[in-house]
Amino acid sequence: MEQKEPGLNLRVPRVGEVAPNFTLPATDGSVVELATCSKPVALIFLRHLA
Amino acid sequence: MLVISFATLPRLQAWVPFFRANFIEPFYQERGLKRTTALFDQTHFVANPSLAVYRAYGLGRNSHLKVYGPDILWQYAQWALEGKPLKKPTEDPLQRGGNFVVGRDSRLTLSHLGRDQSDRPKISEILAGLH
Repeated sequence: MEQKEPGLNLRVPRVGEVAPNFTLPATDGSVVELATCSKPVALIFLRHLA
Repeated sequence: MLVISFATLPRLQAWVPFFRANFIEPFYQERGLKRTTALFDQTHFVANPSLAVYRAYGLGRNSHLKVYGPDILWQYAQWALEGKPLKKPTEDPLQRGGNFVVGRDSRLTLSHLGRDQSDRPKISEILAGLH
């Protein structure tokens, strides 16, 4: 069961689909773009900071 | 490995060395493991406070029932009876966790959305996705 967020149509990409690309700032000062990362690579989405 | 956080970059920059010193290093040292930080040092921690990437991967918000279900409430009750301090959450408790593995061809070899706050894939599943 998931709360619906207004205006959002969320869908979890499935195995075999192209991973959505992104570019984000990293803590070491670099900018990480998924498309240029060495692969395979694991992505972990945190839900809180310990 | 890429760890994607909802936190702002300055907050994440402050948290990573804290996490390393208080959780990662003690975990390995207690088990007598060497090269304790090799994987950690190869991990990029990236900030996504807008949650745009979080949403691009389909991660919405969980329900209160899932997050505060009977098992969780029972656990809180036990901690309260034991006199343990109960911290009020400072972050969004309905946020969901997710794990993905991107293969060499940029396609997903693992896609896992956490059913609740404790649901993560097994290490063996992640390793299988990386091969």
